[in-house]
Amino acid sequence: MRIWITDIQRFSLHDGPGIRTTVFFQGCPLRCLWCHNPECLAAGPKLRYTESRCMGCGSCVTLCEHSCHPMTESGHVLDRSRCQACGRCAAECPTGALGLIGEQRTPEEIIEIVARDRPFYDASGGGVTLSGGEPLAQVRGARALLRLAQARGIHTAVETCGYAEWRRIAPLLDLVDLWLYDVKHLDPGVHQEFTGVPNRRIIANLERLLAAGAAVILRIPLIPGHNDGDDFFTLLSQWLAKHDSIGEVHLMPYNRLARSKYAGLGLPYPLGDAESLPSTLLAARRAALERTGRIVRVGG
Amino acid sequence: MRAYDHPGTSLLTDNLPGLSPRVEQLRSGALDSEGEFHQWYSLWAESLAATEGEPLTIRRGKAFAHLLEQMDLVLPSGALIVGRHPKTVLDEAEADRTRSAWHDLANPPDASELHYQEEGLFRASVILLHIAPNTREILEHGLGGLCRKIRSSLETAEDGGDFLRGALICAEAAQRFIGRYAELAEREAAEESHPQREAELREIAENCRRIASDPPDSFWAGLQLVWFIYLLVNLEAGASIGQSGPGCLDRWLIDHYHRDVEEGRLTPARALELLECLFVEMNASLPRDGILPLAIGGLGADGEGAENELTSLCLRAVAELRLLHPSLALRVHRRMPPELLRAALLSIGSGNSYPALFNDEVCVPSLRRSGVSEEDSLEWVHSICTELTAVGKTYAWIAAPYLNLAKCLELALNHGRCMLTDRQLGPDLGDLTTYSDFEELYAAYLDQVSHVMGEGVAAAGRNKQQAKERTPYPFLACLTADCIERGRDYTDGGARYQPDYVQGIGLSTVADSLAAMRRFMFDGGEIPPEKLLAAMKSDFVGSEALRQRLLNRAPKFGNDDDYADEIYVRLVEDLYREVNGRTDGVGGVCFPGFMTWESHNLLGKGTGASADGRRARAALSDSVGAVQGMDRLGLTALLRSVTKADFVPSVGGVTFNVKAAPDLFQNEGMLGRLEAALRAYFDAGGFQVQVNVLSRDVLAAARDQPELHRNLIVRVGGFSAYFVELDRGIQQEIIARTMHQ
Repeated sequence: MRIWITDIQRFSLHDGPGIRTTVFFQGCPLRCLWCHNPECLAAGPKLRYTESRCMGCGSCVTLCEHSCHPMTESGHVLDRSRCQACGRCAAECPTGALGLIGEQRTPEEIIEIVARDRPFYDASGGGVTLSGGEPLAQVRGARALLRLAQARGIHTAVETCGYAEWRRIAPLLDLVDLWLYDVKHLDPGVHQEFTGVPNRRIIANLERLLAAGAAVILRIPLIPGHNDGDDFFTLLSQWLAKHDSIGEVHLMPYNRLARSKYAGLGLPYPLGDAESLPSTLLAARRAALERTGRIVRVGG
Repeated sequence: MRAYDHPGTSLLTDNLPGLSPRVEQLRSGALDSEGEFHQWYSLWAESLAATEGEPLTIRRGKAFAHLLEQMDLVLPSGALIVGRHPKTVLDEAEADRTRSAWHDLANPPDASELHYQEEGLFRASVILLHIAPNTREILEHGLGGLCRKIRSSLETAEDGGDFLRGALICAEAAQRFIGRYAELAEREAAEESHPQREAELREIAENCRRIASDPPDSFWAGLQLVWFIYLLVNLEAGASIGQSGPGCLDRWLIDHYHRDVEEGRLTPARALELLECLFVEMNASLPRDGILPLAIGGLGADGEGAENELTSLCLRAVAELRLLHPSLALRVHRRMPPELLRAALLSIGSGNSYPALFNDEVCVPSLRRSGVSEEDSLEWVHSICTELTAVGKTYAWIAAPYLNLAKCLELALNHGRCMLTDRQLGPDLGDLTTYSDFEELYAAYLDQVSHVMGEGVAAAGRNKQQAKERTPYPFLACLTADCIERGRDYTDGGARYQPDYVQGIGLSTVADSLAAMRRFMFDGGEIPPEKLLAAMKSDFVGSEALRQRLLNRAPKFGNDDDYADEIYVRLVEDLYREVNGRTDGVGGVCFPGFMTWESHNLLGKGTGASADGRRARAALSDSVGAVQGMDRLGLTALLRSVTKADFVPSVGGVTFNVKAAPDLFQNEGMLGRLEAALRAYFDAGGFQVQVNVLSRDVLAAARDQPELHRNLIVRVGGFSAYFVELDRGIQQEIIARTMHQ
């Protein structure tokens, strides 16, 4: 069994308790406008090109069988229309301006890397976090990896959008120590509008997880103009009032860091020139949630 | 780690007043003081001119005494700890004349001859000190006790009479110097109109009067004595003081502190103020390029922690004062109260560069392994950087020499010739194209190390010989076991321990270079050796693609990648083997270390391009850290890589710099993670770590020189990115954000 992943990121500090290693899965059923891991949306390799690192050596020009790398008067250009993401150019690019993101690794390979930071998990109460993308999109791989982690006594967390059939989630219940569960909006129409899917299944799954006694931290990406308004926060307060077992909420304020990633993948940035969330609004939202008796963290 | 209630740690957080107006005033006075330490040169020269023909040790003793008799005294308003190296203002020409008049008479060891080798093979220092004096003995027996000891040694001395007479001249001069301060304080008290200050001045006078001959009877007097001894030891060494430490303040003075507090003469707030006054004096008397190491906390004789209230107060004083000196080190161990590490990290997070953290469970065994007794190993100082010496008992030669490992590899690749000057510097063992496998190349590297080390240690030996012939240290000898007992000078075999530290410089540069050659030449033959050698000899001019490949596609130390890390470990162990058993011919025994200070820059300037993609004349890697910017997988991977090597034998010092993003200090949760990472590092055998908060300046440098900063990671939840790969606008945003944190 192999899992499509983009990265195994050590010393992760915001994806669950303690020091963690985060495994980024590929594939996601949602298409959120603000997605900051666009390389994780679909499974499979993607060519990343960081123009500022290109020295114009031309090694890719001769290597590429699909003529994706024409040299012009102003230097190297990438023609993505022909690119098959074969990675031949990336393997030889001396500066790393070209890189292939997305690879298949077995759960055994992944856990060997994860286990290297064992002393740091033990000292900090950390562990492994499956993120993405959507780990549930490769649920068999996720399950195998979680099993291996559990067998080694490594704390497990899954960061999920919750959009999956319950029969995919249920078998993970005993393997996941902590769910980092994204809620983007509680209004089905609005949710559909900027994630591409309705939220009924997401909320239902969340409620079933809670009913099953799973440990859940709610994560709310806070996106200016999309879910930072009173309408969502009123609904959220009402919903939280009925779900005492949620003890902790993370507000993940929108940031523009991912812009460079879109450029590197040759994708348009869907949020355009959206500004960061005003700090006063963030503080107000935080305070409102704290009044519901929850621990609220900004940024995880 | 066991958390337990420790009496001292409450002082870290107790509600004590912040900097008192007195300390504020002294602090700004010390920072604003103008002038240089010119008086030292003229007084020292004056005495030397009058003593020509006498034995050198007597002449230096008399010069020291003359200095102490004639030197201006400084007693700033409000000061509680007195004794300052006076600054005077001279025009440049006059200052030059004063210095050269001194130089002609003093004939100090000649730095220009042996200090620096143009081709960057090694640097052998001529700077002494880098120790802390045995003030513990003076605290116990007083300067009077010291004089009695010298006199009694004189009575039985068969030889060494001159040395002991010189030592006695110094010790008695020290007594009179402290007496001068007693008189000054009394005079000022008589003229003081404010009764509270008058009382303080009288107590200062009384303190000085007492400690001029007897042991101190209070914490205040004890602190005063520690400061005088520090100042005097440094004044014997030269005008530009600050190459040694005051010793184990917290251990030595805790009984005085307890007694005073019990008897109602001292409060924690007053003790903190006294410590702050002391630290301010350090900053007034040291030049900006001086370093004053102060190691606090650590293991005690019973295997328990020796931390106490003064450990906490020292941490607090340093955090409140935010001054250059002292260079504080916290001796961390498993049984240390966790609050101390937390306080240390908070101090660092607030923008202080101190304290550095040393793992006492490595440092103490490290000293033991270098022959230091169990008892003596518990009191050590990172003499000024990270080299360990037993306090009050050591004549250390801390760079004997700084040995350029990268240059040794350069010689192995190029028939023993310098790639920059083509001079023959080592034996001709072949070049990169003649080695049939990696082992042959590696063996040639080791042969070059052996050859260069032989030269470097011999150079250090010649320097030491010069020091012995030209600059006896009769006063420092009084403060170093067992000089008086043996009747021998500090530079002449008197000290109990006489280590020479052979410092390997450029460790990771060599590890990465070897890893690149192994991967690209010996494993797969992707890069022909002729091509690589030619590229290095021409500093990669015309071979930029090759250089980029070496930089970006070769295994690099610091990423928990065994391919490179195993080479690193092997290099460390082979350096130990190469150093062990060497002696300098002047009484010193060699021990290994990786303390770098600025040598990675200086020696790098003489080093040709290397196979890791480093350009000619660029800096080498720093101490045991990864090549600049090459640790790309975050802190845990770097910490794991470093702890694959055993640094217990590196008594000569290990400096490990870690850059931490400001977010790590932002809240309890993040601090806990940083703390846990460091604990795991120490548990795995980490020697030392210097945590630096990633500053706006570093980010700005990364924006402008991405090549050296490829390791900087920006983290947010569920996402991270290399800083250098972000677009410029976002980089600016992050820089701006960092400024505000």
